[in-house]
Amino acid sequence: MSEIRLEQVTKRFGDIVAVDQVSIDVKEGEFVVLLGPSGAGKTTTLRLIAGLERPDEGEIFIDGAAATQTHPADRDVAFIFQQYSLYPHLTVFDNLAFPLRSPRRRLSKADVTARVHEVAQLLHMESKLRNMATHLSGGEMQRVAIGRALVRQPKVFLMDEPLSSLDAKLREELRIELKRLHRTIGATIVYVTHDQVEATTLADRIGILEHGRIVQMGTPREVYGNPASLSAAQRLGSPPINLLPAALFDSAALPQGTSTVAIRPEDIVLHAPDARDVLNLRVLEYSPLRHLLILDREGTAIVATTMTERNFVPGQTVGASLPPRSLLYFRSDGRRIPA
Amino acid sequence: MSTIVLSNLHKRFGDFTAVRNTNLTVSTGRFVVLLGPSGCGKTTTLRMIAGLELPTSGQIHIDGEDVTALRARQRDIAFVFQMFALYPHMSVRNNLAFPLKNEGVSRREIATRVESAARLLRIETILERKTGGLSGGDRQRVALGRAIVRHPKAFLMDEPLGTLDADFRELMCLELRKLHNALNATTVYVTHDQSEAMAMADDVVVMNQGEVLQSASPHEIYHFPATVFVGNFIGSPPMNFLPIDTGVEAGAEQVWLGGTPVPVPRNEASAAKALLGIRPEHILLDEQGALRGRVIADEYLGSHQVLVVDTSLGMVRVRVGKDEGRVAGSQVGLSFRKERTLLYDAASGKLLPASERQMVVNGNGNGTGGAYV
Repeated sequence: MSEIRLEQVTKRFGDIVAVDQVSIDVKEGEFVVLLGPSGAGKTTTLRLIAGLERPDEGEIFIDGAAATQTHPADRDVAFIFQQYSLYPHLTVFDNLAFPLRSPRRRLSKADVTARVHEVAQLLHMESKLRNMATHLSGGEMQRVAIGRALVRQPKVFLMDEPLSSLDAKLREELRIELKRLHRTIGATIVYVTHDQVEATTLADRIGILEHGRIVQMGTPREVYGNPASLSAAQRLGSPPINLLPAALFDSAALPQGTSTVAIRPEDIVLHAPDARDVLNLRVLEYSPLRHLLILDREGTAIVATTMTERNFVPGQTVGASLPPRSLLYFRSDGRRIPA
Repeated sequence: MSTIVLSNLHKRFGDFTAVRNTNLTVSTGRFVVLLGPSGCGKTTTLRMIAGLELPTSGQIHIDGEDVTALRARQRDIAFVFQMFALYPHMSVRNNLAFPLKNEGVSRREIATRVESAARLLRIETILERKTGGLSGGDRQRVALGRAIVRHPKAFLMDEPLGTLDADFRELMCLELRKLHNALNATTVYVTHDQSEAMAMADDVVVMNQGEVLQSASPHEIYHFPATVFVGNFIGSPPMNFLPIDTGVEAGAEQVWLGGTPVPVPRNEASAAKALLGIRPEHILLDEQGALRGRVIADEYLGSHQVLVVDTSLGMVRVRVGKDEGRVAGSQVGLSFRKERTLLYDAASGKLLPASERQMVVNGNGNGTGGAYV
């Protein structure tokens, strides 16, 4: 059964169509990441699921039941924001216990304590339960914010860029933790981000949003390896996919209607210059940190990644081959041509 | 054009030593980046070069002249700050001309210099606009322009891209490097961002706790970090450091990791306790490997994957190709590319010298049949 289903949902703000006929199916226990640039409609989609916005058209189902008209408080979803909103004057324990002490829940004191300890253990925060919330690092605060959602045991977690205010090292740490947590508790999660690393590392499936529409939905490997359009191909990949004009290729070797040929930097194979069947290309730039090599092909820069520690020097020549099986072909309107 | 030489530079603020015994030569036309975490002394070093701070001891020479006691304005260098201090009510043209008017440069000369800087920075079309309404990138270009028109001996830049968003920063990095290639002016640039440093620098100077740990090309910094700190600070994910069972002797060609022998390039110095350092991309998944562990995270990144492996020697990060996946929970064996292993003295954190530092590796690791030799 699908936990969350959006059917042809549209949301307008005045003249702006923020979410345009979006249909999404999130299965029970699935981790779905909505990826897109700012203004793509990611956060609005999440707020529609939470009930913080009402759709102009379409239906939303949660746990099989029509939820379009349901009040946010009755949807049993937990929302985690980018800015962790903790109570600064309360301890970690009291922050975690707060949602459980709501009169609606009628939990005994012992139950509250047990539940808080269980969640603290899950998040490796047991030793910090007595700390004031303000005495925590950014990563710990976001952990407590996630913990506050966990104690309620909601059907669905909605997360809006929860890691974007943390530094790179903490982000990696919490990313791994979030994935582990998802495996442990098997929660249904819809997660919004503009960060492709979070999308490919966390998601069971990624939905790529652009201008309020879902342009592709699939596993990270599907979306990365088999992009439906030029824009989907460009959304994932660091360094980004190479886009080469069809004119650089022998037109007989290309499918009809090809305007752009694309290849991922890691699919380019490097050889000694003048080897058989390779292009001789001039090195423009080399970055050991990012393992990338920028090559010049008749004025078009081609980026290749390389794991060797050879010190490539700008100006030198290397041989490169572009294996046909790694090439993707696109029409001038950005649609993919099946090879 | 000018060379900057720092000799035994030392700076104390009360009890706190911000910069200790720093020696550094920035040759004419080089782009040198001071890199380190906040509080490492990089900005203090830059401010001493600028003359905004006086060193507690040591000397600064610019072009052979001892400028240690000279005021900032007597040093003929241009400082570009993170917060671009522009006059919001003035046009871009007047912002650029302003420093020159103060120096009494002729009007004709000012017009020429402003036009040429604007062309270089591609801001000719916005010369008449007020800076208040410009985008962050354009304002940063104008701030750079104000430094360029002065034709200074050297440029000093303190996190000039810090306020820009990530995509734009990358673009500005390329622009700054192009600008440097065009002007060829000696530049000292401060940042805490390793990708900025590695993308732009001729030489990277890694600092921590007031000390210079390594000063070398980006290539050397990445592949041969001089200390454990440098290996950890540079690289994403960072270098792995694994404790070796015993000490190492000079002449050793293998070390013991968790009771298993691991071949290493011939080591040339001894240490009572040592660490093996290896980058995630030089660890191989190998059932016969010396080290075993359980994959606790498989981070799929499109072009490649990073596996976090829980071993008896701690967490090990392994970078593998996009098709060599191992899911979380699986058991793996790990082996190390012998020619890529480095040994560090555990007590001092310093890299131990080894022979065979230069090695040839075939292919670029992408696909099969690549034979780059």
